[in-house]
Amino acid sequence: MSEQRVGQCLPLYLDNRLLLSALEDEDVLPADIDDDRKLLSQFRERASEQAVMVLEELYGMLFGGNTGTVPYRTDRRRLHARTVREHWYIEGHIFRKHEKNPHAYWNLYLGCLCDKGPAVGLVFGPQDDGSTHVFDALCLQVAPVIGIESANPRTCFTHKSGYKAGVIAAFAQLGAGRQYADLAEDLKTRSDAFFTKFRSDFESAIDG
Amino acid sequence: MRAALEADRALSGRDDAMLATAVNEAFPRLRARLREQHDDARAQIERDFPWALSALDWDADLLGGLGKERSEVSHTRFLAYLLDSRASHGLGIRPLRELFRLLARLIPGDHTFARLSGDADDAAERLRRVRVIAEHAVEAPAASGAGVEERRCDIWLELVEEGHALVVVIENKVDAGEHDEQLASYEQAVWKWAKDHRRNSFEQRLVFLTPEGRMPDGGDDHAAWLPISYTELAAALAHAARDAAEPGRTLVLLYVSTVAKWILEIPAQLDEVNFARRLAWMHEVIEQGAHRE
Repeated sequence: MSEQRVGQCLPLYLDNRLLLSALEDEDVLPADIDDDRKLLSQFRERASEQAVMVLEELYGMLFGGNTGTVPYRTDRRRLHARTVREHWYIEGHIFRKHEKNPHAYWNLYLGCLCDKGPAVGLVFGPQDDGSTHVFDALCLQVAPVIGIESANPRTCFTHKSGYKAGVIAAFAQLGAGRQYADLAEDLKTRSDAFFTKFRSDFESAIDG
Repeated sequence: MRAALEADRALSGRDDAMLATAVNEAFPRLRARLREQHDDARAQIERDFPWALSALDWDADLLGGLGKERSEVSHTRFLAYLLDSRASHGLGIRPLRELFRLLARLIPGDHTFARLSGDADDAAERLRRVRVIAEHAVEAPAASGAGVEERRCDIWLELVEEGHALVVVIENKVDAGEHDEQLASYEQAVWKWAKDHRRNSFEQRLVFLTPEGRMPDGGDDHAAWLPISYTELAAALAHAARDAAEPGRTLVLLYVSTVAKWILEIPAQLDEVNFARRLAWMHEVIEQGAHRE
């Protein structure tokens, strides 16, 4: 299992995500490119398979058992079975000690970082989208520590991400052929660095 | 067994590589086609609706400097301000007329909004009588199940005439999802209003405004809500600037610029990829313009 590697289609898709989403939009796709339309459909299908595989494997490696990637109790949110395949993310709640109702979420997200290219990111944020400013401020501190130009998931991707408030606590670059185990290692190392340095800031940010 | 798995993996890897290569080869021509579409759309807007391009090209915008670029309350209040023909912006009925034109286009078989936004003599006068209220307090059954509680619906438009009344409710969602029973309580509030203001005929329209024009959560439970996107709204407001005097014209275009930059995430600076983000909005401007003629 640990020898599994990232395929070629997923990073290529992420790298061109904005262009592809524009092309897939029915209002935008030129009418006379039927062969290319089939090719893109096949490409998206393959990239989706690879996205599901890498996310599910990383979820198992990072959140399964007693891996300690996130120093809190977590669950996994299940909206419907097709979420991962359609949206290319897995998410859940974070519960602090004695917390019955979660105030924060975690999210394993595939996207194209402006400065790093295709990547899988581990994002944390508040359950209720209140003020974004406190998380925006945290992002500014976190970015240099985890080695990224911007740790703000709202703006650090080349494409729309849908995030409002949150912070990228860890990321791993998705090069074709990279082993899943190496991705998990990158995420774990950066996540540890994040919680070592910013755990109390993160909890303050959650509390607004 | 192991050898078979290895062979299968190798085959799948080759297939993966071939597909990636084919797509990589297709990208330049696809990008060129998209660019061509962008340039065609821009040329058409430059020719037919040139003022609308300012909102895309300006670096400045209305709410960004205040740090309120994605504040739902700020967008709600400013939109209500624009829709109020008696407000100080000097745009008169233009924004409201464009919104109603949009509704007329989106609602199958509509006559109400088509008449109100049309060129008939009395249409403008009727639009001037539309009352616009931001964060309108309505009574709704309490979440606890006992009694009633006050809720605020984002924008409430009402037109009360002899024998006829029209209410339009706009629920604006920039980021947050809808709360439990929120939409149902507005539906009940509208019906209560209709009961309290008896008229021979009563019409209502519930509008759900989001960046992408999605349906409310809960699907069929909220089938009465008409989803509209910020792309559609921003294009409608851009058309409202057409023959408007200053400073209203710049004001509304600066607001469209806020929507473009911060909600639709269309950067002012063009590069090889960003032009793709502009296309949906540009096509909407053209589409709405075509429906005017």
